[in-house]
Amino acid sequence: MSRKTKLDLLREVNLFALCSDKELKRLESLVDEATVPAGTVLIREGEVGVEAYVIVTGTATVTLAGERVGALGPGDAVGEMSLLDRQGPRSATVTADTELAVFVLEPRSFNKLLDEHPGVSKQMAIALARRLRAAEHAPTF
Amino acid sequence: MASRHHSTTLAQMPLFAACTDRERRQIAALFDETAVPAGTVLVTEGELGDQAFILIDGTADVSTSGEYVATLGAGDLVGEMALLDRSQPRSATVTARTDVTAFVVDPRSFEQLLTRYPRVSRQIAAALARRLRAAS
Repeated sequence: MSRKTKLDLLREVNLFALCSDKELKRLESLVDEATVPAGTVLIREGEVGVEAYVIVTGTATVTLAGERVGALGPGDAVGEMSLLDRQGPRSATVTADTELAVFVLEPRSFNKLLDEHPGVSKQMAIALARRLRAAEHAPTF
Repeated sequence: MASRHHSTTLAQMPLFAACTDRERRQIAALFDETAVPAGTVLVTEGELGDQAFILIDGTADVSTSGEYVATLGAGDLVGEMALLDRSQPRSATVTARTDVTAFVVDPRSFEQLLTRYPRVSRQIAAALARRLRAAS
């Protein structure tokens, strides 16, 4: 996979949307690549987990209390809130429909990124504030 | 000295728990302190905001469109979203439930907090992540 493509995918992750190229390049060097078979549960609702994933190829289904609530594909992040909220349980279950190629971001790598690029924390806070505003104002039916 | 008192107060707050004593002393110098009676509206939904508060003593109720959302207490940050995303109006109203003492954070101090003290901005980000999980 070309380095440009990896960088572009990471840039699409909402949490890192405001990061500079330099910060994203460091993030790129810190993520691992993995392939998981169809049927793999990436994250499980209610469990405490600490890694985050970005889907590179393939699709996955999101379920909540057994009910399908969404679909994920290339460019979508999974479990990234756990990088910041370590103790909180995963809010949904994500299961691979097909074989997935993923980036894996471990907490230790995430910490390294934050230590070396302190500005990332501020970028993430702003991205989260925007998302939170949208989430809290979403109409409920 | 007011700064030393402030710095001790900050040490008890999760937001500043990961900071060094030296950092807390520096941060303490960024804030003014205010005391308001029960019933005071700290921030108003729909308005553009130019300050945030860190509660020291007392509790405050958060409401959105008139509906109660949550109660905040000592160590909680109030009104930070308007400083993080300055183009947007306040997303909620926060009213002092009891008499409240709080640190007042103006935009420049908040910017310094975010830029110079990454341990603090990380805590702020973590608190937002928790709220986002609860809202989903």
